Amino acid sequence: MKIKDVKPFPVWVGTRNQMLVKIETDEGIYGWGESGVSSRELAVEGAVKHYREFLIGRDPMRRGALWQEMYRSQYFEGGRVLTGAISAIDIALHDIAGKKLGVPVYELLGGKHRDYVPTFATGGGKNADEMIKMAKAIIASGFNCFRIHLDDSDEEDKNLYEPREHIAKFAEAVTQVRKAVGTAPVIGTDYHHRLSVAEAASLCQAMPSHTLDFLEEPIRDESPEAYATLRSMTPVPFAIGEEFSSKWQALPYIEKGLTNYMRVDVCNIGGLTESMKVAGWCEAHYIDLMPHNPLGPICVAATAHLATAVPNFSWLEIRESPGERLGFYSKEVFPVQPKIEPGKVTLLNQPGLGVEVDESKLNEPFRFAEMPHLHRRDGSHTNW
Amino acid sequence: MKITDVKPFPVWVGQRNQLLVKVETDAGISGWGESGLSGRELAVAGAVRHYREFLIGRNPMRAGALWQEMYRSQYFEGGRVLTAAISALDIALHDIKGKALKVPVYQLLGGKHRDFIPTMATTKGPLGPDMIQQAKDLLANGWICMRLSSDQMGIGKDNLFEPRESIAATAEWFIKTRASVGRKAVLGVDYHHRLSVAEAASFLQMMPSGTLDFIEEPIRDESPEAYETLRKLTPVPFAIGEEFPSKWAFLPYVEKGLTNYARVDICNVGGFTEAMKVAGWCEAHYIDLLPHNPLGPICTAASVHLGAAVPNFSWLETWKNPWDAQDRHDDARIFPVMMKFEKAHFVVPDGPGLGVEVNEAALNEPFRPWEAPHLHRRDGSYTNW
Repeated sequence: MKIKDVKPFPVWVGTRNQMLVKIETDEGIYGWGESGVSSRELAVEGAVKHYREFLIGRDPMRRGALWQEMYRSQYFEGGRVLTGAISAIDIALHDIAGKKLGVPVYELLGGKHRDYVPTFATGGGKNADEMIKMAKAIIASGFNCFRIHLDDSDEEDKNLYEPREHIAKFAEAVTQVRKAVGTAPVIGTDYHHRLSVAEAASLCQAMPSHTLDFLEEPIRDESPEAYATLRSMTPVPFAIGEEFSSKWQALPYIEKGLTNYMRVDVCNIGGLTESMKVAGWCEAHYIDLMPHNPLGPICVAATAHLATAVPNFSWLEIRESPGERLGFYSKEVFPVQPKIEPGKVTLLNQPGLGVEVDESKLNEPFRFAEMPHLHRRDGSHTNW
Repeated sequence: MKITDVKPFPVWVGQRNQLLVKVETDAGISGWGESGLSGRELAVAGAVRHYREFLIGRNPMRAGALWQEMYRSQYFEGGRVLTAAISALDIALHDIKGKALKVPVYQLLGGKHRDFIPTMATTKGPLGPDMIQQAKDLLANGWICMRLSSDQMGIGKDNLFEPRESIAATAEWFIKTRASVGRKAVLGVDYHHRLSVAEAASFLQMMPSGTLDFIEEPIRDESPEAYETLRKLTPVPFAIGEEFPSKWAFLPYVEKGLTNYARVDICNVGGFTEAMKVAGWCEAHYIDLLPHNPLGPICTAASVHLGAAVPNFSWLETWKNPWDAQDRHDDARIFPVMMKFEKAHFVVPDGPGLGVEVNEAALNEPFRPWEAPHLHRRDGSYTNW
């Protein structure tokens, strides 16, 4: 079997783009992958075009070897645009290998550990009352783990963000949420790397013990040393890793025990090949995966196969719950996709990933989607 | 597909026992594994019998999940007897899965990185001109990487072993060997954990820089702290890991950079499932595998598939040199089909499963214990083999 073509499709689905990649073979078997560098899709598409040059004619079953060749060619290794592209290609190669052997992808990753994949939801509100209502609705729908957010954006200036103001209000509101729902639900929040170490410490210290079960990405991720500092200032468990674009970025977070949940993103870290290596070493450190999954059904399926094939797993992020309907899981574009129910994802028992794409829906011209550029009152940039 | 039986076979092959394990299924497909705890085969066979109790009726395709269940059941996790048993079973499950899907095992591990597996050979016999000749013969026959013999003293005879005497003689002949074979050869030595930190340091400091490319298991392995100390006393690369019965044993050696080659033993570390996790993290630390492979054709085949499926690989240990081959670890009466060996390398096979067949009719002999030599110093105290 030989690769015949590699086609990138940056395509609008729901409220933003998904960067899909299709790999075709001379046997008629094809595979789909997705890349996770949202809102820089054209850069990833360009990288895919470079890889296409040497992938055509190659054996798609040699997914580990092709990973090495993509990652280590051209001298300069790594970087998220390149691993974003490698991720999509690696996922598509696994889809092909599963179809070729007539088995679901998890069979190529050591076999099944679980029959379905538990998920967590995300929801928010403008104040404590709304957040409590949201938390209760999410729990009632069937989730036992969720992230709760305070959405208090300024009516006049949507992109204004003052960390100190937000954490003061959030700490108070989430304390009330915990009181309202009791101890049993697993509550986290994602600060989306908007805080400094001092702000994150103040946030954690402003809440009573066991208000939050985990705090996700409170600060930016390129300094494990900053996380080591924050680790010494709060006992709240951390969920870190959605930005990691290789096992080398995950390395200090695993080895130094800086993260308690690994937020691996299959579509960014380097596909299933790299995810399995990260998962294996997380297991050695008793760290469960809690994968990032903010994209489309291909990401859902690839991540669910990963989740099915590893022992050390907690919950998969899912972006459809009483808390949000983002339209990422379009049945029109993806007529076949995993079954998504409140609290769980179930893979289809079919060869490969178990996703079909209606290519006739991929023909629209590219539309740019830029994430919000946030600023403080003084006008300086602050992270989204 | 369901597992219908699990059969341990501690069987004499050549010079000692191999503990083979056969897993049978209701689909008519069976798989073979091997366990690496040489000299304690009955303990491993006993562990296999415990696992058999809950493996029968289970789906053999779920190798990763069964690994967890074997390792984490009965509360007390780990330990080399249990992981040796798990290793054989995990290898057999991979053999079954490869046969069921009609692909070589490496296709279940991410696919092929290489078409053949380079090997490392070992000289045999006493120090002296013969050893230098053996090294030259190995080079002439395509082996770039080889381990030279250390001074064995009375091993296998009166079993007297004095580390200080051994290292003095060994260092002298290694210097001569390096001078004689030149720079092209990659020269190592296996001291088989017979030395103390101080002895290992002295040994390595007796030789000029560039004499040895690696030293294997100079000291015992349960103290990574001792290896950290030794690391400061010599610049010679280390090859460590053949004794490790899990990724947790590997962990400090990988993370602290204590080993430069990972001597993973697939029949001890926990089979393919565990070896791939170790290999993945070795790759993160730019450490190549140099797998331990002192057993039979099943261990060799499993190691060949592992070597085919990882990017970070150097050489596979082999007996396939003119002097070790006489010991018949790969007795063709017992193993009618096994890995193909060509000039200093194994060919990566393309048939289903491991690519090894076992003649069960040849496994019927009663068990004969094999005990590794018990060494002592002149004063009568015990010292490691």
